[in-house]
Amino acid sequence: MSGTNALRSKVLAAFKDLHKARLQTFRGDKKALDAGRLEINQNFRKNKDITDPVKIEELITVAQDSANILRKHVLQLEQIEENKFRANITKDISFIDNTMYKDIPEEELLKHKKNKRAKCRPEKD
Amino acid sequence: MSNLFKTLKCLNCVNVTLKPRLIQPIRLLSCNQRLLTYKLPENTTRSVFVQKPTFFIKDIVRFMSSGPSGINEVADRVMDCLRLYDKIDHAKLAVGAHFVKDLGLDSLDHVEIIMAIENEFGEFIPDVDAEKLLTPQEIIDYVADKFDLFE
Repeated sequence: MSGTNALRSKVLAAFKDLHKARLQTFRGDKKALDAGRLEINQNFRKNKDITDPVKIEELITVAQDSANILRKHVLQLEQIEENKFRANITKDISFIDNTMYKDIPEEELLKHKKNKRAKCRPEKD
Repeated sequence: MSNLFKTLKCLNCVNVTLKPRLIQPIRLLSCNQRLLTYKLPENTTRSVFVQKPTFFIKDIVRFMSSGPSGINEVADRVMDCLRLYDKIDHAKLAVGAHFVKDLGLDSLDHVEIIMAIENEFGEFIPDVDAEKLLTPQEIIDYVADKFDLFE
C-alpha cells in the first residue's frame, strides 16, 4: 500500500513541477499558458487508469523530461515593437559555452590535417 | 481619523526631507491604502503631497497585496482563488465543502488549486501539508497560521 502511495505522490509532484515550469516559461503569455495547461491536464488524465508501476514510472520520467525541456530549452521572445523582440531569459535556460578561438600557426595546422588524413586512410601493413 | 492624520503627517515628513527617488517602499509599509485617495483640505500649506504623489503607487500596491492583514482577508482571497478555478461549481462552493466529495474534483485538480493558493500568497506549501488541505476552511486556517493571524 505504501508503495502505491509513494508512486501516487510522485505522480502529483511531477504534475505540479510541470505546471510550475509552464508558469515560468510562458509568463505573461495567456494564450500559451492556457494551451499548456490544457495539454498537461489532458495527458495526465488520459493515463489515469494505468496501474502497472513500471509503466507509471516511465510516464513520470516523460513528465520530468518535459518540464526540463520547458525550463532549459524554451526561450520566450516578446515583441516590443515592429521587427524588435526581447528574449526573456530565465535563470534555468541552458547556455553552451562558445569554443575559444586559438591562434594556430600554419605549419601546425597542416600537421594536424595530415594526421587526420592518415587516420581516415585504412592502414596498410 | 486622527490616526490617519498621523500617518499622513509622517508620510509628509518623509516626502519633505527625502528626495522622491530615495523613498524606499519599506517606509510606506505602514500606510493605509485609503491614504492614496484621501484629499487634504484646500487651504493646506503642505501642498507637496497633494500636487505630486511622489512615492510609487506600484510599490505600495505590491506591498499591500503580499501579506494578508487579517483572517477575513485570507478567507476572501482564498475563496476568490477558488471561484477563479473553472471546474468548481459556484453554487456548491462553501467554506466547508469537501473538494473531492462535495465538489467532485480529483487529485490533479487539487494540486492545481494548491498551486493557485501558493501563487496568491507567495508562500510555498509542502506536499505533505497540501494533502491534508481538503476543504476551503482548512486552507484558510493553514494560510492564516503561516502568517501568524488569529481570529
